[in-house]
Amino acid sequence: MKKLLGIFILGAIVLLTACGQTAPATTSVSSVSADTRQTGKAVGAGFRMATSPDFTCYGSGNADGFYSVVANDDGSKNILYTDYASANQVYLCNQPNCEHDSEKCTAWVAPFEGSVTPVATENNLFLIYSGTTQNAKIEQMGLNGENKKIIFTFSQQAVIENAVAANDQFLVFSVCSYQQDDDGGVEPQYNLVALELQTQKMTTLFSLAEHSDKNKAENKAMFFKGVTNTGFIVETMVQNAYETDETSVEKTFENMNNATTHTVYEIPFDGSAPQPLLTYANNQCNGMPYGDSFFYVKKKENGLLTLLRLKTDTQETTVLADDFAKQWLGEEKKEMTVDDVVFRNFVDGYLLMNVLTDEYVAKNEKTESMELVFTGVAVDPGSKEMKTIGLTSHYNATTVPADILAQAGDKLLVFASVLPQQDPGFRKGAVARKVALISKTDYLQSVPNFTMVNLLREYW
Amino acid sequence: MKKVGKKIGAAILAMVLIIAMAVPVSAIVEPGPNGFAIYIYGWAGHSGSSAILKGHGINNNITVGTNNGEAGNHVWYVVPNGNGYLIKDGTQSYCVNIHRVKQYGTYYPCTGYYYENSTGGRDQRVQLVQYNGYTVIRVQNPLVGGNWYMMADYSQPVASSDVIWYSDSTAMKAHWY
Repeated sequence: MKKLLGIFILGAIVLLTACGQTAPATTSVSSVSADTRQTGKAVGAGFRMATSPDFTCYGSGNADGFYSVVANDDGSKNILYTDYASANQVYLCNQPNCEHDSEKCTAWVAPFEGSVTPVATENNLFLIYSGTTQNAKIEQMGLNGENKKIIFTFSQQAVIENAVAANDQFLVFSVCSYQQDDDGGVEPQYNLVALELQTQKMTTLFSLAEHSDKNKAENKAMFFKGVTNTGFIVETMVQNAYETDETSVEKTFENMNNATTHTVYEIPFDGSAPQPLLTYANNQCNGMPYGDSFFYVKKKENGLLTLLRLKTDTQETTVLADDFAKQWLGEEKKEMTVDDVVFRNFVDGYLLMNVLTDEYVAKNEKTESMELVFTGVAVDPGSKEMKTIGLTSHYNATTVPADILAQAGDKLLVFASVLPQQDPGFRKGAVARKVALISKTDYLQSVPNFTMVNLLREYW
Repeated sequence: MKKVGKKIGAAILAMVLIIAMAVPVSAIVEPGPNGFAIYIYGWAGHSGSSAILKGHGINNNITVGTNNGEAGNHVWYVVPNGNGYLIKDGTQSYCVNIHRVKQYGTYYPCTGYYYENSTGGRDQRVQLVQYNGYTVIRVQNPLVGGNWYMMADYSQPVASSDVIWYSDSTAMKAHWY
């Protein structure tokens, strides 16, 4: 059975790596071929997350600046570059008087039915085209937008997660493609893959199909969560069959949660076998990898949340806060769920999280706003010190800590201001986000010493 | 992965037809290519022609419209995220947002918004559950108790035909096998 499965996966990889789309005239297509190795590929060290694993990607930064891809009304897109030194946002184009609306412009991206995610390294800029109606592809260019070329085209529609890890030689990301099965159904194939930039060959580092029982699993999914100092971290979710209780929806939900197993794996950079780090049922844990550890919250039997640190090299677990809410806020919060804790970043040795700390109804004449308050907290995993981040915005009945877009040296690029959109062409609830640079020290001390970026376009 | 047998498929078809005949214009969630990526289609009851959930574009309300061949621009599907799921546009990186603001009642519109990274998509998370033979969508951690109705167009929130789906212990109008 495993052999058959292997052949099946191999076939999928061959399909994935076959070139199947004509490139634009301004590009050259490198030939691509299948790499039959499924796992065990050594990819070297020095990986960093070039883009976050967030669903909405606002861009990608390197040491000098931040690249964004923004949509135009005609379906095309533009590449914008925010220069940290000057705090200015410009089109990625050096031509004077350019309208940035054709392929003659280095900042112009032809219409594509899907998402286009920029990935910036210190040497190149890549665009990841992901879609369900057009074939996914990867484009490489210089940091000035010149010398564009398609370096990989998938033979079918594929959904590529925003999270992309990069070093000098590889781009690593998660791909979901769809495969016809023997029964006429279609199954998603989740793979963590490495694209070798020099050879333009793609290798599968981790396949969900190899880590789930096909005969038992009713549903399954995989998330690429990030990197540690030693490997890539993925989380799988496998849902087996469960009993339904026709008299109780809640009981059914409980059965569903218990039948859903999450497993966090580390896939070492050195090509050794993936290591399972943590297994839990639905709604029991939630976490993210940073540095040498996987940090997570866990719902205890007494209803309280505990904050833990799992070192991936030794698999040693340390309790950072047995009762997280009480140690931070001074009060127990049994109603707090694991999904109320949103892991956001790791800055200067501090783990940063946004936590839902309050919710209430605010009434006025016509509406009742269900207000939510998300509070930022910085945790030092060494000393276990916790401090509240006080830099926030309030919009759409939500108080939200200033979100970090990128780190560069001792600076952060953040959303310093999020306000309701003033343009009447937008619907109620639309927002305009302004970005700024701030020192890491000021951010962690909640000092609003922002250097606002001169934006050509506000972020939504 | 859930597979639909021929008998079950016939049962679904019969169920769909029964519901379609009972409700002139409505919308259901139909199975997509797999158990997680679920395309959300509506259908026009008596004619039998399909309709789809529309509203392509950020900040737009989702509406129900006739399938005019532009399905590629109007596909929404369900994707896993963390401990729950999100209803996401098929071509853009934004998700269905479920407003918290009370609008003189308990009806809430479905609107396309960017996923809010800072809050983990708190207003956009749903759960899928197998119940009474159907897969049902419910809002995850709703702030308002009771039944949750999600409207295709909340400008006419009282019309039952505008209901895309709801989670309710007594009736499941939106479901799939």
